[in-house]
Amino acid sequence: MTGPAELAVLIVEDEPIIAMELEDALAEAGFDVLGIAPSVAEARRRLAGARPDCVVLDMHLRGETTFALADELAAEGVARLFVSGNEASALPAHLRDATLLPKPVRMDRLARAIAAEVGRAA
Amino acid sequence: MTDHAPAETSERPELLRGDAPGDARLRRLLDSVLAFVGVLSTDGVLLEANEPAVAAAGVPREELIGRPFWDCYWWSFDPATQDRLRDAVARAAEGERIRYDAEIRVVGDGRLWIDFQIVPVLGADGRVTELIPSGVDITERKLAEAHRELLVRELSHRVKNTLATVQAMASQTLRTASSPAAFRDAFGARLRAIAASHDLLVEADHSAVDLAELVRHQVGPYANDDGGTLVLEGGPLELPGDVAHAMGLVLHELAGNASKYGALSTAGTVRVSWSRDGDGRLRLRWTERGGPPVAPPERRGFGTRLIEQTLSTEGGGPRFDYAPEGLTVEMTAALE
Repeated sequence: MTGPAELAVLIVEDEPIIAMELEDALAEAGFDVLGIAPSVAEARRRLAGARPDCVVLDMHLRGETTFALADELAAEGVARLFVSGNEASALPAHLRDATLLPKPVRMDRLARAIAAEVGRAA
Repeated sequence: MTDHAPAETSERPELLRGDAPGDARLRRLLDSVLAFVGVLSTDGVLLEANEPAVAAAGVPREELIGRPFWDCYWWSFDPATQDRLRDAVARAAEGERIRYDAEIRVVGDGRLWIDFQIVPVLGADGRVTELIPSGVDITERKLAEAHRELLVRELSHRVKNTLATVQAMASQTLRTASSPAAFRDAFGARLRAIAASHDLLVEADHSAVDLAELVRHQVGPYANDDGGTLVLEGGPLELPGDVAHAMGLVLHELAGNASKYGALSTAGTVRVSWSRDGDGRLRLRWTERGGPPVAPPERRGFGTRLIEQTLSTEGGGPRFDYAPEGLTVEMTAALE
C-alpha cells in the first residue's frame, strides 16, 4: 500500500463547507489535494490538467449525478469512491460494487478507503 | 358491495343469472355501483361481470364471460399476477375469504390498483357454490403512498446532508477557534445563519427566497447591534432554495467579518447591491465604507474560502478588493 503523502486526490463536491473540510482533513492526513470541483464540468477541466490517484465523488451535485464521471475514471484506471448522504441503492446497478462511504463521513475511514481503492486500481 | 357476508347471499346461488323480476333489479343495482363485481364458478370461470368491470376492461363482454378469470383482460398481462389470482380462487373455493391489493389492467393497457376481494357463496348444504370477486379503485391511495415514500426518502437524504454539513462546519470552526468560548460563539452564529435561511425557505414553501429578505435576515442583526447602517440596492429577485442556503451563509460570514473588523465594527455603512446580468445570473456587490482602514488579510480565512467555494465556477469567481477605505466583494451566482 502506498503512503498517503504520494497520493494525489481530487474532491468532487458541491457543498462548500463539506468540500473545505474534506480538503483540510485529507491534507492533514498527508494526501496531496489537487483541488475541489463543485461540478462534473469543473472536474473534467481539472482532470484534463492533472491525473489524480483517486477521486472522491459526491453522488449528486447541483442538477447532475457523478455516475458517468465515475465510469470514465474507471475506464482510465483512476481509483474513485463515493461519499454520499444517499444509500448504495441510489447507485445505478453497474456501480453497486463501488465503494460508498455514508455522510457524515469519518475522516480516518475515508483516508483508509482511498488508500485501499488506489491499491485495487493499481 | 365489497362486504358480502356469505350467509346473506347463500339463498341466491343463481345470483345475476335468474330471470325473476328481482334479479333484473339486482342486475341494475350491481351495474350502478362504483365497485367492480363478478361471479365465478368454483373452478374460476367468469360467469358474470357487472357493467363497470366490463367497461374498465374495454373489451367485448363475450371475451370475458366463460373464460377462466385469470385469463381475462384484467389479469392476463403478467404471469405473477395470474398465479396469485389462481391461488386466491382455489383458496376461496375451499371457503376462505380472500382480500388483497391487486394491480389490474384496464382499457388501453392502463393500470389500476384495486382493493380486491373474493368471497365464497355457500349453498344450503354449506358447500361453496360460487365465488363473488369484487374490487374498488384505490389507485389514488397507492399514488399517495408512493409519493409519501418518495418524500420520506428525500427528507432522509436532506437530513443526512445537513448533518454532514454541520459536522464539517463544526470541524472547520474548530480549526480557527482560539478558545472553547470562541468556538461556541462562532459555531452557534453559523448554525443560526443556516437556520435563518431555512426559516425563510419554509415560509416561502421551499421554492424561493427574496434576496432583499435574505440580506435583511443575515446582515440586519449585525448592523443594528453595532450602530452601523445597512443599505440595500436592487429590485425584487427570487433565489432558488440551494442558492439561498449558500448565499445566506456567505452573507453571514461577510456580516460577521464586518462587525469584527470592518464597517459594522464602527458606525460605518454596508451597501449590498444586486442585479441580473444578461445571462440571467445574479451579480451581487458588497461594499463597506466608514470602517477602520482595511489591509489585505495575511491568510485566507473560513469566510474567504467559503465565498470562493460557493461562487468558484460562476463568472470567473468572486473578486475581493481590500482598498484602505473599505472592503468590496463582487460575486456572481447562477440562478437556474
